[in-house]
Amino acid sequence: MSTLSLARTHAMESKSGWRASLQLNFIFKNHKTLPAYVKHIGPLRVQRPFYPESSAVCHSYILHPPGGVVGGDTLNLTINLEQEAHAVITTPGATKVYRNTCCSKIQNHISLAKHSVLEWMPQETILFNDSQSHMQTQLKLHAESKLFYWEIVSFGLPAIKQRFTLGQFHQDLSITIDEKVVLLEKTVIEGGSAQLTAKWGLQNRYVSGILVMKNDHNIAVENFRAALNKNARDESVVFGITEKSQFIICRVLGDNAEDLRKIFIVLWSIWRELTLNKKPVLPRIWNT
Amino acid sequence: MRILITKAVSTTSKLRLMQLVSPSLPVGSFAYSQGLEYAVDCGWILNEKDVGEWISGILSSSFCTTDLTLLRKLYEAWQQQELNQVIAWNDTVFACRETKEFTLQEQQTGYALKKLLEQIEPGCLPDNCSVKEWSYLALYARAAQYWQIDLEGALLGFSFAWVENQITSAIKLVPLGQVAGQRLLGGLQTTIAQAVQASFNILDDQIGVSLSGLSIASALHETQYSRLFRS
Repeated sequence: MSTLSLARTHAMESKSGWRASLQLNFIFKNHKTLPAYVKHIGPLRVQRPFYPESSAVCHSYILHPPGGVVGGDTLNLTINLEQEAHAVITTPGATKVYRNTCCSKIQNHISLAKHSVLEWMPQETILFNDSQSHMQTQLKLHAESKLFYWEIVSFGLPAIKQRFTLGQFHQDLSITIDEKVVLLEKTVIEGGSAQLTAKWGLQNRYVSGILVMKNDHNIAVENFRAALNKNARDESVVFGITEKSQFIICRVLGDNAEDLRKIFIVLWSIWRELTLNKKPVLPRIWNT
Repeated sequence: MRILITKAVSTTSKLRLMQLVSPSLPVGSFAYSQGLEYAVDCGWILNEKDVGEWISGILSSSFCTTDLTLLRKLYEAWQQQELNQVIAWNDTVFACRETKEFTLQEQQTGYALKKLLEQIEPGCLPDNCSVKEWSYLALYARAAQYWQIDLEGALLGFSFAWVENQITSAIKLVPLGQVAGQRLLGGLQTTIAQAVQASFNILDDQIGVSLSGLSIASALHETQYSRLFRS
């Protein structure tokens, strides 16, 4: 990895940036979910799939450019889950958005066909101070598909107490079910603005996360709430769980990504058990 | 003659605006604190200054980019008689409501305004319409456009009513005195005007801004032990 990042000269970065794109189709054939490359340009790639549960559930790791994301980079990820396919997708490391002078774009277009299942559990995105970026995720769901999805963003670097005092961050999440928009959630934050410190905003926390679970089995939100109150009674985070239309949504503010991930995994275990009748099997790359 | 008619229309529409944004409009807005009750209960808001910052912060961010922009899109769609557009923006309103209580408020006040308009302005709402649930925003936009209230007036009135309602909630919750409430209402008028002006420049794909702290307050209000308000 280090050779690759070294190979990335400063000249390449400042001129036009990476234009990386990856399109993956998950197909279901002979009781097995298989990832199939459709298009692949630049340093966005996927690792060999793992099957720690059964051949029906494909654990897939997406690798972002090894040197992180810099100015002008555009990462375009398209993922289609075909009928019956089941994918657990994560990233082996955090996505780092470095200080830049022109905006980096990360775009994810994800579609779920009938009876497909997606569990989307990437590691956090770290916004370095004075970075500009736009993260956009569009999820197109079939009414009879299942979704578990989270996003975690770190504003600055909590480990060295570096705040996001300059720069800009845009995050768009849009979910449609059978073409009808059912969830729109945008975050627009200017470095150093009141939104980072205000009680109605990020409350001086470094890390913000949202988790969205499609609730096909009418699981009562109390199940999740009770588990959180039992397992996450921690002063270091503030979280709220709610439901709307077909979703259960949890929003969390904290000071490190690990705290948020712990909370989300508690919710994931319950969702998995009650929706898929499966035990949680953590992506094994997280243990390394 | 023409000037006289225009003046008559504008006087009538001004009075209609006052009717539409009055707290006496029977849609029950007074029952919703929109997260403020939790924010006060858990100590995020302690005094008049905090109330002002809470309201003005929300007003100039999510309220401006989401609520006011959607209101403009809906008003224009009604004006152009594009019912399909009205329906699409009505769906977008619900897609933008972050929590159960924000969604319920939109549904409940929307339903109350629908019932009212059906009785006082028969013909104002489309018949045989596929919409299962009207948002309050969509019907406020229709009433304003139907009564020939100009768009800017409709936006200013909507914002004023929202701010006034937040202050009324704060007076009960913090609590604050009536004079403090009036001081806030006066002090926030510049922010209201700025939010309305800024909303004219918001593009369609910028709609949907939400705020972490506010959304979390609203979610936590669902299980707050003792509550005066429905949100």
